[in-house]
Amino acid sequence: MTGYVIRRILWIIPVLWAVATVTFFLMHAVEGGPFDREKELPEAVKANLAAKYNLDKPLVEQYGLFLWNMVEPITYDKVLGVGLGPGKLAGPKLDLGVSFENGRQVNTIISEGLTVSVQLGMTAFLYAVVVGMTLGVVAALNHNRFLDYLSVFFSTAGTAMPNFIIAVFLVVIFSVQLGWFDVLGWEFGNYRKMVLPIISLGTLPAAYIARITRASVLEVLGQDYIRTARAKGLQEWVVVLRHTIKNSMVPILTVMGPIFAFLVTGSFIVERVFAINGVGRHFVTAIGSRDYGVIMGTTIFFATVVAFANLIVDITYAWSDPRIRYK
Amino acid sequence: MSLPKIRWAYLIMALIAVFALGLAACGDDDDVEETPTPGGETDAPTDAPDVGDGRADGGELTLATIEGDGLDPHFSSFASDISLQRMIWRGLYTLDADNVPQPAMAAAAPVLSEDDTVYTITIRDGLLWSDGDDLTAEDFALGILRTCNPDNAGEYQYVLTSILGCDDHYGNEAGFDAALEGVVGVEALDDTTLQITLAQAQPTFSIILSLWMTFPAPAHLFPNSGDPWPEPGPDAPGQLAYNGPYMLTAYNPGDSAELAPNPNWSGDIQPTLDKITLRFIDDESVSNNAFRTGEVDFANVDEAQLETIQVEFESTGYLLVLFPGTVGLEMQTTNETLADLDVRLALQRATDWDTLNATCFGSGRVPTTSWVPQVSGGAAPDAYEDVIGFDVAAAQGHLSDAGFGDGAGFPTLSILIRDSPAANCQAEFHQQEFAEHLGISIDIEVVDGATRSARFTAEDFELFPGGWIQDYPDPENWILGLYDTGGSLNNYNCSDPDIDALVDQARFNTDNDARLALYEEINELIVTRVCGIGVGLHLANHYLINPDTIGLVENAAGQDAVIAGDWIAEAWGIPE
Repeated sequence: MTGYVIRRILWIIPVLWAVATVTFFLMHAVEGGPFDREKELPEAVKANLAAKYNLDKPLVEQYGLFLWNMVEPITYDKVLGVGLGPGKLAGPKLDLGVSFENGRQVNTIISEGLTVSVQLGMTAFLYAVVVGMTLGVVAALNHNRFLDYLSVFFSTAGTAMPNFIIAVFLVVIFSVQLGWFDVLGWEFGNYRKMVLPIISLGTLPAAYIARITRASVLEVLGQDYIRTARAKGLQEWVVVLRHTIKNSMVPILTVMGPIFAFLVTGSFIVERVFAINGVGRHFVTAIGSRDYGVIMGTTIFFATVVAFANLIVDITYAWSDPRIRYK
Repeated sequence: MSLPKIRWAYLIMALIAVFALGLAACGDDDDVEETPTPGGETDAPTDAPDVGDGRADGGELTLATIEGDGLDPHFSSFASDISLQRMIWRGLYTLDADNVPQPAMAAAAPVLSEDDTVYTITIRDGLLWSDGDDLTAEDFALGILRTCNPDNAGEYQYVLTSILGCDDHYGNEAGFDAALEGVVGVEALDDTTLQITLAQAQPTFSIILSLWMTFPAPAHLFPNSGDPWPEPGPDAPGQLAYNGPYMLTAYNPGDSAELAPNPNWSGDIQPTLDKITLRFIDDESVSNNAFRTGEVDFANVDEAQLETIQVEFESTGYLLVLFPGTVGLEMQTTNETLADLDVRLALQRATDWDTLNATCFGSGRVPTTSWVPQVSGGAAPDAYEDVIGFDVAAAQGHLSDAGFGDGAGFPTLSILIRDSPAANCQAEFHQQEFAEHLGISIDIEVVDGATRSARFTAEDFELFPGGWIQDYPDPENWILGLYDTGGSLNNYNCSDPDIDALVDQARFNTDNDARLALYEEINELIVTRVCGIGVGLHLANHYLINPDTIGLVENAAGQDAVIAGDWIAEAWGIPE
């Protein structure tokens, strides 16, 4: 298993390089640049801005500079806040460059937004998993009865409604009209600022998980070993929890990886509707403003999270299904 | 009806709505933006802030705004940047409610040399930065040198083009050059005397000295003109010094900025608020909801919901002010068809800007036939109605004169727009009007904002909805570079010998009345000869303002950047 994990991690490096390379050249191939404004800048200003951000250099040289800033070996005094002593650990610089809009370090921009996005994403993920799996299991255990129909209705509605519709509805009704929650912001621990963003962000994945869970549990409930477990006289909750749910997990875990990555990397829509300062909005606004530094940074960051989320899912397969072993 | 019943009603409505959407389950997510609806009557612009009267000592305001790009006044070009910078820094002069420069950090009006090229400015005694350090002439010189420094790439350097040596230094391809900086015409003669030398007399230079790109830089913190200015982050407030009425106390990128009164502010009006919070909100519909719930005291109105907002807040909180900007339909005059004045006049006169305004902008703008707004030295909106106003018969006559009677043989032109509901609405409106009134067809080409801007700069367009927002209140800002042949911003290639001759006469004319009269002549030529633009609408700001505030009002000259009265934030307060 350890060898497998190391190999998978090493494979992530060429994947990220490929993502970075394709993004870099695609981004520069698109018409318009970071200094093409609604109100045009004089040529002298554009020339100085281009020089300031190295855009006056040949594209290949810019690409080389970007890669070098990423991989340039440096030593770290501390990692994740833990002091190691001067120059104890060597590693890549991982410098994603600067934003062409405000000159800030892209690493800083991402890390600032990431805290909020991870808080929001994790809680929305928790909501999605708890609500989705509960509805899915309840639906399967009550197949073709009222609770099943209710669950199917929820999952259909949740899948069909885009989160900006849900978010706007929730704001208008529960914030503006009823005054139960705030319109603005995110503050961990403050329910007035947490409930609506979590529901807005988590409802679609919850609905999706409910559908997958229902189908998977129904399939497992029809297996011989479930009939055997019941015939042995096991209590129903033991049959459900130990034998049914656990054995239904593989398809659920498969979708959880991308859902987790999607949620913790922020949502442009939900962050915009609730004016939350997460990392999600940078994905979209950077493209519109051709902020090359932020486009590269957010893309690489997203690819990294997806790659690691999928790795974790693959590892959890082995826990879920003892027949799966990695060599 | 009691409140709880209302709440239950909303809950029931919510459940019904969720059920209905669930049943529909059609997944329609392609467009949330609404077409603006026609608006009703609006309030007239108000007078200048009622300075300080009835303000309580203390209080807090939370104002919704869009986050700017940076804190460096010698680099900034974004309106939100400038809005914040005017709260925390102040220049030698400031514009009063009539757009006339008045001394701010200067002790008096500048003393000019005989040929009007050397400005000697005395700075008020005893000025201090917020951190207690002396604010001297050297700080003002440094501010100007920063804007002229090519390494800083200040986006508004071109406004200082008349300062001796500023263009030469800024245009130096090798970047900063100490020798070139040395000849830039700005010098601190002593602690309280600043001397600025112009290459040529510029009658509007005192106005320029009120703008952000001439704000002082704290030389005790950044001694060299190329020293980096702090980025807009949590550490920035402590790394800067301020000479405006407020100072930055916290900056949370993407979220908010907090201001507190500057204890060393030297202006006549003293700030009374304990704290101002600028809450960064990208989406105006979101800030409007936050205004409804009382989370913010001020918000810009979402133009797509203008009519609804006007009705909802008609008696309290809604304020319309003219904004010094003009938009219309820009036309590429190098295009073979559009080179013909009759064609341009036909397109101009076939456009009913009144109806377009109602259809696409909720009647939130002001139809006009003048390029330069009246508040900036231009003509009244209806001044040229008889020459370029909506008149189908006249439009058809012009098209016929151009050899395209009833639209026969007219090539299909393309209108280039950014992908937004309002732009789409305007393009479709033109398309329909031209087809109906002139029998011609145009294509609509939709691109994203950056592509549209790049195409405009490259002069790669035929028709282009666009315009201009003023940098400073003088007609020269509406004309120089924009309509003179070869002007750096003249992407529609307006080239008219009469306009060029008048520009030559006006540009350095020190007789102000004569200068303004010349610019008005140019304004008339631009609009009546449709020289690159078919003029249509003046812009306007629409604000939501908590009635329990003072000073968040605007004068008729439209000096706001993005917040009502942000040019004189020291007058803000809450009632006693």
